[in-house]
Amino acid sequence: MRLSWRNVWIILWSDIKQSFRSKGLIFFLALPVALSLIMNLVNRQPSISSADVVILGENQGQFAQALEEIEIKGVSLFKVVEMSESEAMQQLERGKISAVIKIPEGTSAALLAGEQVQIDIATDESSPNTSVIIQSTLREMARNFSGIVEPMQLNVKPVRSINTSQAMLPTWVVMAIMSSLTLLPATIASERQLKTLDALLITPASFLDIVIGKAAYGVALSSFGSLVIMIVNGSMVGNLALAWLYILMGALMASFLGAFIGVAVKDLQAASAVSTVAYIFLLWGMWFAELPGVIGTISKYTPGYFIADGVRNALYTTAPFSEYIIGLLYIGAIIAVSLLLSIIALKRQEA
Amino acid sequence: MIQVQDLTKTYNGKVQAVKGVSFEVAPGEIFGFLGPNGAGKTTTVRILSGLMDPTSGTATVAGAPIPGDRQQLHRLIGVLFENSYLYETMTGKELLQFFGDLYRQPRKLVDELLELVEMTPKANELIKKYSKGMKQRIAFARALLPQPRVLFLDEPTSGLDPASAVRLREVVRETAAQGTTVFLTTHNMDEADDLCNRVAIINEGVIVAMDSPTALKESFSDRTIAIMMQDGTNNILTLNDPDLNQKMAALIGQGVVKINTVEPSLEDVFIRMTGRGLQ
Repeated sequence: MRLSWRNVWIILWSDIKQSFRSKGLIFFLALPVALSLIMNLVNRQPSISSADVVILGENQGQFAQALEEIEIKGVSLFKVVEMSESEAMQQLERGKISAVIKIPEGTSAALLAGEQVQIDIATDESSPNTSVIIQSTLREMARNFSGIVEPMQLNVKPVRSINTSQAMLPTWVVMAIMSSLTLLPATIASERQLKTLDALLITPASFLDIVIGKAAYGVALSSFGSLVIMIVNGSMVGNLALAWLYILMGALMASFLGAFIGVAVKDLQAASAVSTVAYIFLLWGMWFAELPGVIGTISKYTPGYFIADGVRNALYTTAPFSEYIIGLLYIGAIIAVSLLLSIIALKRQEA
Repeated sequence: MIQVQDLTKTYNGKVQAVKGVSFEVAPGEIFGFLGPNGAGKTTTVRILSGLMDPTSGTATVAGAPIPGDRQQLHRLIGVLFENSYLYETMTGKELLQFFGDLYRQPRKLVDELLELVEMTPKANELIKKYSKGMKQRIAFARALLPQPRVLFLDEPTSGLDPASAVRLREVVRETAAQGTTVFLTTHNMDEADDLCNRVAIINEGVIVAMDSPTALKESFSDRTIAIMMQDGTNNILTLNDPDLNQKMAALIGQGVVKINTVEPSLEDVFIRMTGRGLQ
């Protein structure tokens, strides 16, 4: 099997031109964009929900107890979790916890002596209401403890500031990326069923040219969809190069998997069914990773979770590149396996 | 131009679709490949056009070996499928330009072929708006895009109106006259008789007859004549009958209106060879 990049380009360009005449495809592409816009409208009103908080330093237990006793309708407003300072700051950057409170040694003694104390607090400014409640709760506790009016000076460090639509953005981006996973098997299988594939196969273009051309089309569609979603959601921020590396690798993964399904599963309906199952499997990690127990753990190993997490971190945190390597290698491995499977299926096809 | 030697194809190790087929086709020849559904003709064409490998046997098409380098073969052949298999969201011109790019042909050739199949006025309309005949003409132009040395035509006039069918047959003859070998698969016996220099009849994977249409019909002729009388009756006499002269003289005395020779059609030949009609 020889690969001609010129043929790949001819097939890719032809498919792109035809896309604009396919109402179904335009709907398919527009769906995640529309969903993201609808979610923007729905989520205009900020909400208060249970938030994880880390307390470091003196009297952690007392502060933790006081925070956890604040309830709304019988539900604790805060849950205090234990972790080291460095881990806590990483988790805060990623939006996994809402605040890190550092209480210096001697705070209790100072308060009892009627002195004003300084407390460092890093908060997730994506949830400004939660941040304000934490600050006022701390002041109230110190006031009750010391009996003075202004017992505390809070040094608030806003760590990240993204709105709900930006927080949801990785979900929509991954949906756009995965669209080629369902699109390509249907395209290849229907070309086989309608015999237009035979017409292509009697040209000098090899089956490999055709499959790579179709996969490139999938990558182009996924990338275009992701770009539109990022623009309409105002998320051209952070480490864009890294975010796009994730998007392109995700698009490659989805496209090669889609191409493999399209080549290996010959019947159109069967190909659609298999690709839908694969689509759900790849996406579900994004939605269920926060669940407790086995489902949450398994979800964190799904490609959809890795891509969404990578895009989120690249856009909204300052994590070093080393933290992305495992995720990128994982996606790279899936790309390699998908490509290998596609080539094996192609060779069987040509036999 | 086409040499086929002991070609066989077995599907899933069980169903033998082609059983040791051998034949040769000369340059510029129009060769008809006739057979009922399931006879093995589509399998043979798919092997010769490089869409599938044979189980055993060899072939060369325009010098390209089969099995062998498919891309080399595909630069030398054009194929017209029975159903046109076109991208319906393209215009006729866009489709030819797309395939022309894959064949590395100049855009000028696309315009020439559109003219040849008389589709220039409709070239910029979407294919989904075309009639079946128009689609078939575009598909025929696509088959000519590689300027092929061998042209495979599968039911080329199927669904065409009579005038378009006549025009397409003219183009096939012109193409063959320029040196292109034409491999024609058809159910239309009149078309095969009209176009082909030679035909092969394949049945159950085996070629049962191969010759020129005239020679095939001749070999199956009973050498009979039909004599129509004034009273409307028909009398059939065979030329091999030793009493032919006496019988003729007797009939002429009773008033003959018309005397015709009775020749078998190509379809008659086929039915006699295979025991079933072309479906």
